[in-house]
Amino acid sequence: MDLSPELSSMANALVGANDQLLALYDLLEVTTDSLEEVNTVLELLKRAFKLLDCDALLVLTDDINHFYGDEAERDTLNQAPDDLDRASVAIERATTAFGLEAELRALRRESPFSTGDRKLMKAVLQTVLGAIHTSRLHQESLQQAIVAHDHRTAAAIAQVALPDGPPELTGIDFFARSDPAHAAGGDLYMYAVVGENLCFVVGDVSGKGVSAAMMMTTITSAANASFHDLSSYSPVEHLRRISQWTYDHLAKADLFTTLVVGRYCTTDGTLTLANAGHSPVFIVRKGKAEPSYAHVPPVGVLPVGDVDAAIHQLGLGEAIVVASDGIVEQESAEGEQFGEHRLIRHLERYSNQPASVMGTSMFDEVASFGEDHTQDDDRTLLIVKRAVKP
Amino acid sequence: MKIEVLPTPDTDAASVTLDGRFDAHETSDFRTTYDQLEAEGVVNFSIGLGGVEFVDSTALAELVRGMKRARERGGDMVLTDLSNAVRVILELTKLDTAFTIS
Repeated sequence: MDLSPELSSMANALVGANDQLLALYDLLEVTTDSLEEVNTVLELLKRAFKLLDCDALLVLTDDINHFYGDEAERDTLNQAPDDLDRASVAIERATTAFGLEAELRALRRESPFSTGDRKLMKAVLQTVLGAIHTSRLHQESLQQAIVAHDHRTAAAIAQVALPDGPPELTGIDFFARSDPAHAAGGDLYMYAVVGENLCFVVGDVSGKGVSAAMMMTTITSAANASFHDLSSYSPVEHLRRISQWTYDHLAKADLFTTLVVGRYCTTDGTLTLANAGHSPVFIVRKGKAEPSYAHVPPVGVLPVGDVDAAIHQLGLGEAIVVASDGIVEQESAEGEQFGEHRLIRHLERYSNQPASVMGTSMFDEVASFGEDHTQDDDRTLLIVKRAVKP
Repeated sequence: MKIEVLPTPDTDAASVTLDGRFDAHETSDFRTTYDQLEAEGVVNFSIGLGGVEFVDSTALAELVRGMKRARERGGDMVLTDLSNAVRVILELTKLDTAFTIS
């Protein structure tokens, strides 16, 4: 049947509109097929290229540009805006509510872009921006999930390395506990009974995550090996050995660790300490907490040089308390730190209590203080008390 | 944390001033700044810490890293204008004996 020119023109326009509608559906389907930014945008441009019946398309975003079409026209579209031939190049710009900006440039030499074409370009650009935003959100979620998994792994590694159960040694009242933070740090403690002596080490590896946890296990292993090397009981010698064995590892990983190495002799109450950069450390006697300071920088900063030991005599009921900075640096919801003054006040208040009561109540007080604030760092406490009763 | 860099033209020195909280969340920015300066040939670093209100072990480890790298290249990292918070932590950890401080 022959149609009049007017009807023929209308029929062609309807077919064309229907084709464009199908191409639009085709375009939107791309956004549900993939979450990867580069391939998704290229696929969108491929379909937009057909939709707009053009020679080339270029999308410019904050960090990546995407091109589709005749490669010979790539440089044409890449020119500065003022140098573009506006008779054959159309530009649309858009910004999302999240601040993502992009520009779409289309080149068609055969005929200029119509108003309808410009509306289609706007729709294409909004679809591209939506796909980029979704892809980046997905990547961020993936990264967060990976980091969270790493920290859970690190915390698990760290906990396995810690000793299980109190030392079997008469004459001491002992407490040790380490609560890992969500983002696992590198707090460590280790102890061993050697004859009538308790040898112990408490430390804090710098940094967080898997690297700090792995280094922590290396150091606790080194400490354990040194404690069981009967050639020397000296904490200074233990510190020197641990430093020699772990210095290269720490240096390569750009880490260091604070360490307090101690030996408590149950026969006469002598406590000997070698301290590499660790605080806080207190001797609690006669109801007062006296600080014991570091002698040398943390292990891994410089090769260990001369180390002086601190020697104390613990009377009945007197104690050494070694904490980690995760206790004194715990913040409240108002941003105030728990602080050394609260730690001292607690130790002095509980100085007559068994080590387990001193320790558990300390954790309770810090947890209560930081109740509405995240635990940013591991909390570790080790207490060795000269038992009142044998 | 704000990081301000003052390179000294035609020399191998740069002055970096830190302001705010220097902790695990800020170390990647510091490292990026340091590594960029190192790539530009800087071996002598002056790190101004007067505005640093808090520093944790991760941040101290970054300073130690920078100090060691600078010394390996024949230069140094000098810590200047220490805030009270920084001075106390350096003294407690005995890191004040490892760094050059002015």
